[in-house]
Amino acid sequence: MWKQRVVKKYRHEELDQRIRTRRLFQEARTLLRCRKLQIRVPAIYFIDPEESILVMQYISDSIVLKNYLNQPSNRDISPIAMRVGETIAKLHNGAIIHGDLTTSNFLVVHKDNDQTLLYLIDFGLSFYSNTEEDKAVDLYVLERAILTTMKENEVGYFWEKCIETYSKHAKDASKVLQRLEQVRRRGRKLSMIG
Amino acid sequence: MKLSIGLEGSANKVGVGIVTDKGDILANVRRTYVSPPGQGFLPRETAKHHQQHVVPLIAEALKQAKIDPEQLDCVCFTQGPGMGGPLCSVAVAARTVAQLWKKPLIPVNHCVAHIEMGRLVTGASDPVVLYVSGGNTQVISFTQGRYRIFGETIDIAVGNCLDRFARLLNLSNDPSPGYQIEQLAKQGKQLVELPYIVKGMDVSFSGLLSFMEEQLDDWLKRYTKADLCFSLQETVFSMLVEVTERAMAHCGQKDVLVVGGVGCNERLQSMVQTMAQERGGQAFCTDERFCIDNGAMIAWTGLLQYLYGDCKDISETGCTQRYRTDTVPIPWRTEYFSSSEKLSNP
Repeated sequence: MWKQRVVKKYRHEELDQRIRTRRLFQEARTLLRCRKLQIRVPAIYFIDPEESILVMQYISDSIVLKNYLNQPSNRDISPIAMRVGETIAKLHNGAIIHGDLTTSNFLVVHKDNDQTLLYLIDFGLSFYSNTEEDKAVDLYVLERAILTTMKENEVGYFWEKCIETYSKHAKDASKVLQRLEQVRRRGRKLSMIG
Repeated sequence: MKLSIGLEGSANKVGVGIVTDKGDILANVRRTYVSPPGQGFLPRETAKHHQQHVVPLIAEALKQAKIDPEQLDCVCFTQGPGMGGPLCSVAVAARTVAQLWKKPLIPVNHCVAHIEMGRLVTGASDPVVLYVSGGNTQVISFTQGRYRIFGETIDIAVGNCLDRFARLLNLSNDPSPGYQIEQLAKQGKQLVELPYIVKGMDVSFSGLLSFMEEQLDDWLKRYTKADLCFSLQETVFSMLVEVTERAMAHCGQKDVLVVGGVGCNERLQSMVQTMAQERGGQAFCTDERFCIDNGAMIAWTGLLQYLYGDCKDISETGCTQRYRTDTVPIPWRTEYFSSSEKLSNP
């Protein structure tokens, strides 16, 4: 499959070009780095910087996590939540910050042998950092995305499982989670004048 | 016909508006506290300003609308969010007149009022809302009976960032620092590279501001003030439009409504317009009468609450500086009760 970063006409041309090129290269770099860390991501086949095109592996039979979670079924959501937590832990251990963790950026592949694979995609906003702050914000973005897309009665359980697994696998998890507390408080929030 | 009066004073504007349940605006008067160049507005001075002007404004609004206080059905005021001093000053005025006139008192959330006013004036039925002002930066969509915040600033508001940069350049605060930046930016030619900070659907401006503060002296040797204003606008507005677009994609919505003081910036409006058109949707913007804080939006939203039975005892009408948009139930939206169609789209 190929992914092209289209020109955003609303943006100043120079700014737009800069952003698109930066994100293309960043996405390619992070995809490679993820593979080295054995995180499931699509393989890159080709890059065209002039047209901002990235050609990569098509993940067949996959479904976006958002839709997977909203499918009507009485399937236990904890295995997938744990997968999400584990994937993010691996990512953070490799000092990668995804920058746009949402339920639209995970692909779920359900194999016949009842194995569930989880792919992470869309690394345009990713960067490298090992600070608790950046990791906490990464988690915060995901938490918010989950809150706005999941059924209300499942959110708590899903997030709990996700964080539980993250803590098990991530380095300095307790410090990151402490920081997450702070980030949350910041989010709800000073800027309420207007 | 029901009539409502609304009092707003959460920041440096104090306003009084009178509206009908058909959405007609009979009066919408306002005074702005303008601080000297290089300074922001401080709570104490702003509160004093509101205290001086609120009573004459109420009289002016009643005169303009040609109605007697007896004809009113309710008195509405901004409960929050906002600055404590100014909020309290106006709330005291609201409680006083409500008791004098023996009318029910309705506390209103400022952010929700901006959204409802925007929907009333533009006729947008279910848009993603970009709410940008001096104190708020939020991308909002209506789901499950609430105005949910999909993206927001994780530090300072975009208007605050613009205001503070205007202060660094010593621009006038009259009529507003953002207006001065907008005018200067029109002459800008060179695009200075600035940090572009988007985290998922959230944005951040404080790092950008401190970066500009650090570089300012150096830049002024190479660039004009106009270049800097231009670059700042292009950068922060692009960030905002990007997260708005992402929220629209995420929620599957095509239309977008821009509200809040920064929403009257024409460059931002044109960027939002371009983005919406590319997505096959429509952008809805309002002018300074309704974008900027005003009394009519409080009167209108309060009236909706009143019609759905949301009256508060005077003991429950305290103000709060922090009051999240997503904590307010919105029973008048069609998605809530289908019978309320005529109310949400008068």
